[in-house]
This record gives sequence, structure tokens and C-alpha cells, in this order.
Amino acid sequence: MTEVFTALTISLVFGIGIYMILRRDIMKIAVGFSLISHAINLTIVTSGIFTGTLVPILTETINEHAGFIFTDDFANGILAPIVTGFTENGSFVDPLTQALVLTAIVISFATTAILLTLAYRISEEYGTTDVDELRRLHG
Amino acid sequence: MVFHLLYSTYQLEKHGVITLDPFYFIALIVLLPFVMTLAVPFAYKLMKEKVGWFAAAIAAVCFLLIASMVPSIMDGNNPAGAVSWIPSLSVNLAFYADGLAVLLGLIVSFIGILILSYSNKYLSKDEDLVRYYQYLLVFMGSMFGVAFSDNLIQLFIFWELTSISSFMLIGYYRKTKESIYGATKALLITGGAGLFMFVGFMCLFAITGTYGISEMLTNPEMLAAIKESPLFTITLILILIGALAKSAQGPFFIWLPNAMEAPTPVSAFLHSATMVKAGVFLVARLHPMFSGTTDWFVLVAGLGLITMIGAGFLALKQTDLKAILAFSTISQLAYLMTMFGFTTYAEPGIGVSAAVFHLLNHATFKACLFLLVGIIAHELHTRDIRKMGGLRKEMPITFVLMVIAAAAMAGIPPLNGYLSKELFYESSVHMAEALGGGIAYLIPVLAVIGGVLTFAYSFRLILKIFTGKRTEDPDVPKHVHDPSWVMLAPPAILAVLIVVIGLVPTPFVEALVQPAVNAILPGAEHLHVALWHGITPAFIMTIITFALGILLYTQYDRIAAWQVRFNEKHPKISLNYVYNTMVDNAFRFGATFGRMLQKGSPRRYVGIMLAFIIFMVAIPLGFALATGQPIFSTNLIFKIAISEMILFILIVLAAWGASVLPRYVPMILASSALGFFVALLYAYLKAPDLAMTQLCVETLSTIMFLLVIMKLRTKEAIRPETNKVRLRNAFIALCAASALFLLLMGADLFPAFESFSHYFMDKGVELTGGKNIVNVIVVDFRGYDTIGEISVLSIAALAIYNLIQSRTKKDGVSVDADADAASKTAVPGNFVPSCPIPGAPVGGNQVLGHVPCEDVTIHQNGDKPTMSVDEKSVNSHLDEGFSNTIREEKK
Repeated sequence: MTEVFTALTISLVFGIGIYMILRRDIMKIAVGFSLISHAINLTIVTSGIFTGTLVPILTETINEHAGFIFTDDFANGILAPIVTGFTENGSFVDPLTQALVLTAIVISFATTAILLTLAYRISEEYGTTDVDELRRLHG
Repeated sequence: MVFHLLYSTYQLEKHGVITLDPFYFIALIVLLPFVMTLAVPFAYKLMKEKVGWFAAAIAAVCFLLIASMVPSIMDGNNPAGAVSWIPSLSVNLAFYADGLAVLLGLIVSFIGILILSYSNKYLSKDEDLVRYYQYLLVFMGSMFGVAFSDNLIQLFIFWELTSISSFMLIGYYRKTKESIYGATKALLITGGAGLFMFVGFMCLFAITGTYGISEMLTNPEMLAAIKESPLFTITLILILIGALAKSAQGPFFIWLPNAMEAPTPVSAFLHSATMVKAGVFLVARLHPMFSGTTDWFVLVAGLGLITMIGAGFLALKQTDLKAILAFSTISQLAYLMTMFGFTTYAEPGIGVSAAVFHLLNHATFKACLFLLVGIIAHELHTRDIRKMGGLRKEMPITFVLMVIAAAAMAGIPPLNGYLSKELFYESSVHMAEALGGGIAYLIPVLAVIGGVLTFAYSFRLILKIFTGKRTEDPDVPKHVHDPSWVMLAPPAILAVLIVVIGLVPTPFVEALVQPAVNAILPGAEHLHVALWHGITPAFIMTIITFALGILLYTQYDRIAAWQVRFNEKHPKISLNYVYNTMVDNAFRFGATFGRMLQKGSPRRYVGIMLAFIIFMVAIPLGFALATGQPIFSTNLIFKIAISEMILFILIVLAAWGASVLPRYVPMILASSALGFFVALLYAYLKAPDLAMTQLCVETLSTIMFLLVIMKLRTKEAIRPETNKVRLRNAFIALCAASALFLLLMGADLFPAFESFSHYFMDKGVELTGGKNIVNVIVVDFRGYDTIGEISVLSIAALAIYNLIQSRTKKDGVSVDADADAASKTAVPGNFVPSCPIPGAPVGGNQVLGHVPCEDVTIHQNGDKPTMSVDEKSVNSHLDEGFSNTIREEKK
């Protein structure tokens, strides 16, 4: 990835996520986890957009790697990986990274659900969601 | 006659009704006990405590199947077969039956029949019989696997299976400390040494390029390659570590005495007759690869001689009957090792033949001894030899059998032990001559010393237990008697075998020993066994042995007392001390290390992991900086569209808000705003599917967060972190963010792999008919991943369901606390299934004093909540007396 600002945004979200999971409250830890997964998902998705020089650009017919180019300039002229017909000169982003992240989003949802349920049950049993306090209570 | 019958069975197998490929025939033998373990619980349902007969029948079937191969092997045809397993690693599932394998298989299955029958009476019906017989059958199958394996990896697997089943059986009495100690010790030593052996096998593979055993043994080039290889000595040592540990030889002997915590039939089966022979078997199996070298002679025969004398000497001090037998087993196995070590290729000698013969004989008399000791311990409720004496009159049959078995061990003619001991002496003399005499005559001398010690403790078993008078002891019953035939028959059968092999050894030698010898050492002399060979050096050595043995016996108690005194004086001169110290230190070190790393705080774990990741980024970074290489990509793009800019700023703002807002609801709103911005960014990044998914998931997550916040019951607000902690956390976060940023910036420095997404783009429409490639990948090309994802979701749902369901019922919570909690969450009685009745005495009978929560109403009157109880419910839940009191109070 060579987009400096994208990288900066992702790193900031990641850093804030890390800060959150180091806190004492399980609820905040849960939020931290979701921040981190946002950051990582974005990393993977943006890595599906390359500079044109690294990957061969083939602009022949649709059956021969047709119009499938990776470019870094995602503001103009590139398409989502949905084939709408014969594309002469269009260029697609990498569908594979998107498919990976699609799975990752759903899985991180499951993780968040479990974390939240744990927080709920812990608060029910111990009357607190403070990790340090829990350790003290649990001995 | 018997052989004829078996041979016809084999013919039947071969040509007739059942035509079985040799591979499947042997695989059947090996797998039958494993499969039948599954049937044991059902058999137990039908037969109850007689289930041992079922297991014995399986052993009998295996025995017959193995025996049916004997005629073919006597003719020199070795059944073999293989199926490919992991061909890329030369690992096959290969079975191979030669004389040696069949001999071991026959010993295992025959002793198995006797042990499993004997166990019927030995174990009381209250014990966990299913587990016991299952372990024994697993062990038997693993032993067959060791015997018939033609692939080193496969052999190793079965080898470790025998260790594991031995571990289970030693620890059969799960409650006692000693059996746990013994089981752990056995597993650590044999299993740990097995790993060395595994490395040795890999060395063999490195030399020969195959794991096939018979392939190596029959290929003279490979044998020569092994002998000339620079890896030869290290390979030999590694493999021997495994074999010696299994056979309790050399320094590894210490596990066997502790293994005696197992039930006595198990000791008879595993720890005397069969499993401990696996090490000797491996030495015999790999004999052609390593023997005939100085290394082989020094390591195998040298360690064997030392172990033989050492263990025989230590046996004298033992007072536990089974401990005496354990040490004698170690000593006798050392005989076998020594004899296998007595081989130079120039002078094959009779060492190997003698060893194989003694392998057979030792299995008969030692298993017999163990079974008899089992009877004695069963009757007397003790195994302490000091408490015994004078059993000759009370247990006459046991006495006779004991005399036969112990005399065989001592080497008294005309029993089988005498024959193999003669051969042992003869081979030691041959070896001394082959080495050129002189100092080498020490070998026969050492052999005689070993024999003398054996003689002494063998007679101890007879004389101390059965003659003289028993001292009065409250633990020992006054009147004992011979047990039922179920327990007497197995040792009796073995005793008959001892005598028969002693009197007419030739058929056994021809049918069992000679094929095994041919398998190990094709050029060995043909073995002629007879009771009388004339006055030979071996005969003279035997006479000396008897004379010295009687002399030693007179000094028995003094030597034992001296040993005990020595141990008390120098407790540290003991291998057990070394072992215990090592294990204790391992535990201590592990605990310290665990305490260091596993503090129990999730934040610490996260901190450690992050520190490691940062470290991993810092190393190449520092390296690049030091060598002046670029750390950033060369074509960084600083251009950014306005819309993009706004989105990024919003994302960072939302994340920042989520981190700084102290209250839950604003925090959640910020976090979900972040999620929606990310969804927007996905749309911008040409990922409409992701945007859609993210929108749905974020909505759901927000609802979930809010739900949980509503239900949270925190008693007091969580104290904010101190500034110091915050700073530390911020520093860690900053480091992590910088590490990620640097990684992303430098990611383009290396050429990327070519994306294979072309394939999906090209074939998507054609193969699946779908035009949305992401969808097509998720549901079609990588459909299995999606199934995995769905299972993750289902498991998460199950976990959440269980977490919610696992609430403990909170009976006996005081009304005040409950009302308090109820008023806080404004859901009266929702979490607590029952409430105490107001006015009823708290404590005491909890069932009486409670009514279902639906019947309790809580009224919110300003600060103090009050409760009212449905009258009917109270009546239905209280006995007359209680409800009357309450009514009176209300009036």
C-alpha cells in the first residue's frame, strides 16, 4: 500500500483499538476488539488494490484475464468485481481480499457477541466488569 | 499333530474358503484386539464379571491365527504386504511376518490367553473391569503391531501405543499415589526414550532413504551403507536408548520396579513377559544393521552385563515379592541383551540362538512366577516376603508350581531355564575365545556372577515363602489355601510348558526358535539343544554357579542388610534420586515460568504479544536503518481526494470518541458510527458486498451492545485507570500503531506475489453463472470456507446459549439484596428463579421458605421498594404452621 493517508488512518484506528483492549472494563475491551478488526479488515481490502506495474495488465477479451487490472488510484475508473457484461477497458479490484474480509466481518461479529455475553454473565455473577476487580475476587 | 492341524488351517486360509492376502491376514491379527475393545462394554453387559473370558477368547483367536503362519515360516516363506500410506515420506502401512515376529506374537497371544483368564478371578467384580480389559486388549494389539510392522514409523506408533497402554494399566488404581508415580515414571522414561529412538529411525532413513524394515534387512548394499555411514554410532545410540528404556536396561531400569503398582496380572503380562521384551525385540530386529561392530558389542553386551549383575545384586535387598521379580526381570532381560551383543560377524556363535531360546523360556517361567505371586498376594493380602513362611502345607499346589518356576529361573536341570542358561554360558565362553582370551575371560566370570545372583534370589522365593514358620502378623490371615482352578490353571499350564520344553526342547527349537534365528542372522549355527552335552566348560560353570549360589544364599540377609544400610547412608547415590530431582525441578521450573507468564490478567497477555510483534518489526527495521536500505516504498502517494479525506477524518474522530468517552452509551454510539463510516469506506473502495455486510453487522452489534448495557449489573462504577497506567497503555498503543504503519509503508518494498484472482474473474461467469465475483467466491469457489464460517457462528450461538443457561440458581439471597437488584434493573425477579417469602425465617429449610417469583410483586415507593406475596402461593408453598403464623402476623 502506498496511500500514505489510508495507512495512517488504519494505523490510528488500530492503535486506538489496542489502547482500548488494554483497559480494565470488559465492555471497553469489546469495543477495542471491534476497532482492531475494522483496522485489519481495511488493511486486507486496501491491499487488494495494487499499483499497475506489479501485476500484468491484460486488456484482451473477457476470457483472457479481460480488463482485470489492479490500480492504486481507486478514485477513478476502477470497478467493483461484478461482471456486468463485456468490459473492454474497465479494471477491477481484487475480489479475493474482499471475499476474505467478508468472512472476517462475520466472524468478528461472532467474537464480539461472545465477548459481550461473557461481560453480561460476569457482571451478573460478580457485579462488576472490571478485569482487575475480577482477578481480586477470583483470587 | 498340532502343527498339522494348524497347517491345514493355513491352507484353508490360503487356498480355500477364506482367501486372504497376507497383508490383510496380518492386519486382521493386529487390528482384531483394537476393534474388539469396542465390544468389551457390550460383552460386559452380557457376561458381567466373567467378561475376562471374552477377552481371553480374542487372544485365543489371535494365537491360532498367528500359529497358522508357523508352517509357512518354517519353510522360509515370510508373509508380507503393504498398502501405501504417506508415500511422499516413504511411510507405508506394511506388515511382515518372519520367525522373530511370529515368536513374539505367539508369546504375547499365549500369555495373553492365560493372563486374561486368570484376571477373571483376580479382579473383584466391583472394579472397573471394562476399562481393565480394554486397556489389555489395546496393549495386545499394539504388541502385535510392534511385532509385525515392516515400517519403522508404523513400528514407532505401535511402540508408543504399548507405552501408553502400559501407562494406563500401571495407573489402573487411579487413587493411590504410588500408582500415579509409577505410571508417570514409566511413561516419562519409556515414552521420552522413544523419542530418541524416533530420531534414530530418521537417521536410518537419512542413510538408506527408506523406512521399510525388511527392505533394509534384505538389501546388502543398504546394510553396508549403514555400517560405513558416519552417522552409524549416533544412530545406534539413539535407537538403543529407546530399546534399553523399554526393556528397563542400563540406567533406565528404575521405572520397572515402580511399574509393579499395576495389578499383578498386568505385571505378569506387560512387565515381565511381553512389553519389556519389545526392547529386546527391537535389538534383535535391527541386529543385522548394527551387529558385528565394536560399538554394538560394547554398548549392547557391555550394558547388558552391567545391568545383569547390578539388577541381580539389587534384587537381594527387596522385600516386596513383586519387586524381587521386577529386578530379576531386569536381570534376565539383560541376559538377552548380552547374548544379542555377543555377535561378531566373523564368529556368529550361538549368542543369537541362545538369546531367542531364552526369550521364550523367560516368558514362560517369569509369567508363571508373577501369576503365583499374584495368588500368594491375593490370599495373604500382603506382598511383603518378611511376613511369609510355611505356606507349603497350606498351599501345596502353589508350592509345587513355584518350585518348578523358580528352579527354572535358577537354571536347575531338567527345566527349560537350565538349557538356555547353559547356552548363555557357552556363548560367553565363545565370545571370550573370539576376543582372543586373556582379559576377555572376564566375560564368562561376569556371566557366572549373574547366574549366582539369580540362583540366590530364586531360592529365596521358594524357601522364604514356603518353608519355615510365619511370624504372627495382624494383616495376614491365619488360614490360607490354594485358590480356585481359574487362578491355578494358567500358572500350571506354564509350569507344564517349562518342564516339557526342558525335557523335549527340539520341537520348540525347530518350530519357533530356529525360524526366528534365521530371521535375525541367516548364517547362524543350527541350534542343538540337549540336556546333556558331556563335560563342557558351560557344564562346569553351571556347577560353580550352584556351589556359589548356595554359599551366597547363606549370606543373603547380611548382604541385604548391608545394602539397606548403604542406601540410608548415601541417599543420593541412586538413580531414583536423580530421576526424582529432575522431575521435581521440571515441575518447579515449569511452575515458576508459568507464574511469570501466566499472570491471569488478559492485559498482560495482550501486552506480551504486542511487545513481541513490535520486537519482530523492530529487528528488520533496525537492520534496514543500520545498512542504509530504504524502509518506505519509493512511490508513496500523498494525493488524496477531498471526499476521502473527510471520511478518514470522520473514522479517526469516531475511533477517538469511542476511546475517550467515559460512559457506555456515547462510547457505543461512537463505535457504531465508526462501523458505519467503515461501511462507507468499503463502498468507496469498490466493495459493495462488504459495505452491505458491514452495515448489517454493525446494526446488529450496536443493538447487542445496547442490550448488554441495559442488563449489566455493576455495583459500583469502575475506577478509571491511574495516569501512569494510561500513559503506559498509550505508549504500547502508539508503538503498535507505529509498527503497523511502518509495515504498511514498507509493504511495497518487496515484489508482490501475483494475485490469482484472475482465475475467479475469468471462470466466474462460465463456471457458476454468477456475475458478482465476491459472492461467487464466497458461496461457490470457497464454499467450504463459508461452511466453516457458518459453523463458527453456530458454535458461538451455542456457547452464548450455554453461557446464559448456566446461571446458578440464587436461592437464599436475602430479600433486600434481591429487591435492590430488581429495582436497579427494573425487571423484578427476572434473574432469580425463586424468592424467599417475606416474614418466613431466613435460612433453614430453603424449599419451604420460597415461592416462585411470579407470585412476588415489587412496588416502587420512592426509595424503599416493598414486596407483596400472593397469598395462594404462600399457602401452597408453606406447611400449615408457617402459613398460620404469617396470617396471624398480618392480622
